[in-house]
Amino acid sequence: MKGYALFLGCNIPIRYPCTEIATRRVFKEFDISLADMKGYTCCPDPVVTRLADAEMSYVLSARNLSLAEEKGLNVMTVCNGCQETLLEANEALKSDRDLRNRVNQILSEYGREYKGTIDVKHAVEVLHEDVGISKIKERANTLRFKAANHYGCHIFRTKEENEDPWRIPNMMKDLVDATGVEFVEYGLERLCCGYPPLLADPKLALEERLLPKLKGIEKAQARCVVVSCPACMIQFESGQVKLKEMGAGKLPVIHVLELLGLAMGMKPEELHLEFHRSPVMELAKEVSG
Amino acid sequence: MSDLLKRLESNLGKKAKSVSSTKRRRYSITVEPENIVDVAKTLSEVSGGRFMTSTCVDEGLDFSIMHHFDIGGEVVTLGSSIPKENPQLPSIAPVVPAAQWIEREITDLFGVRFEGHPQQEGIIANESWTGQTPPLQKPREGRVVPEYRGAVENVIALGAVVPLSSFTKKKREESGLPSTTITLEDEKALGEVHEVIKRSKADQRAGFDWKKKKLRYK
Repeated sequence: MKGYALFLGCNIPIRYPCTEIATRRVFKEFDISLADMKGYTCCPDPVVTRLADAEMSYVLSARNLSLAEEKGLNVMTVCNGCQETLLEANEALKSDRDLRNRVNQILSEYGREYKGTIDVKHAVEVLHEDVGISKIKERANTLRFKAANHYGCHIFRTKEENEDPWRIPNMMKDLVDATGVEFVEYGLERLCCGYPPLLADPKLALEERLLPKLKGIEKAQARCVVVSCPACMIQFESGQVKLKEMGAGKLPVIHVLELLGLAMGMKPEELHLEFHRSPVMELAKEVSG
Repeated sequence: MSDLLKRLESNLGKKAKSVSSTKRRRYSITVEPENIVDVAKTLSEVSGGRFMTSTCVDEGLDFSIMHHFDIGGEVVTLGSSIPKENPQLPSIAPVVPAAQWIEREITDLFGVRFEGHPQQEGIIANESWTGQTPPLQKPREGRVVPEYRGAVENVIALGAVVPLSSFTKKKREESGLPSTTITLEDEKALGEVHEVIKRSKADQRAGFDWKKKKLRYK
């Protein structure tokens, strides 16, 4: 049985326990063990904390990575923001000896050390590479409706300089396809959902980022939008409420792991999809029979 | 190491937080506010320093007060930092009388109060300034922009960008999920994270008040 250190971040356990349930159950079904990381912190988030204090951001990321290193496991993230933060911190700490020494000087006082011995992978990558699309398709090819994808900006970050930025987004496409869902394009897949600039410029974030996407998805006649990031999920769900007067509807917003869970026969009630602010529960009940 | 640096270190001992040479013939001594009078007295009486002047810099959240001495043609700056919420510093005027006027000027221009000053009255500002913000004092501001302050406070105080509500905690239990292992639910880990943040000095750079669990500015 393969295993990973599960890095849930802040938003999933606090705002979307449904995604946590789906993650734990889907990986169990595929015989991949997930070890909890006791005493982890925010990754920390790739926009606010890194801009406010890069040094603190590296120290906290290194501490989180060291928790996984203590278990001898690679990290698996379920959030694009956590993925970017931990991936970039891991690479920076591996390649910059001065930074690593500074960080380790602080961590060593608490009996910890960042060694640079592990990798960071998104759940989408783990499913695609460790389980394989054919095996997933065998188990999950049960859904029959149209859906649009929103990949989220941070998942386009690459580890290698010449790596294709579409590597993980394409894997997500394959996963959605493996559930039997008909994947529809709306032309604005690459546009940011607006979550990162929401604090600084709500008008831009909602009216110039989220709204065009919502309209595009509606035009493409998708029944829902599939995401791989809880921050995007918050923006899509809360943003629709804020944009109601501008014509936004009630588009269900579902995490790709929840979609997989449904496709594999997990009941909407068991997944506790009521945590969503958009009508995911209603859609799930309808499509999962 | 220069002779003067050696003498300063030897004369000041633990009263100084740091003694260093900043460039040729320039030295810097930093002290806690409570030691500033003793160290000024040592510089003046033991090291033979001649008081030159003082400067005050509004750093946003704190004032930096620097007293400059000439010791045998070399400049030694004695500095201390005080929070703008309570801008008080012991006056060195009782032991270095030449500092009387410049401390009064700093009081007029920045609002810093020098405790124990023998003549606590205005010297430079017009009487019409009374009761107003001193002319060179800037608003109390830190480096985190207003839009990001809540998130930064949460990361430092909780190790998470958002707190866990009692509703979600209950719902997690109902849905059979284990207690979350993020620092929010783990006092020992959160204590470690606080220490790590303090050691990285991120709390000081952000201007975080540990007692109030808030930034020192709104």
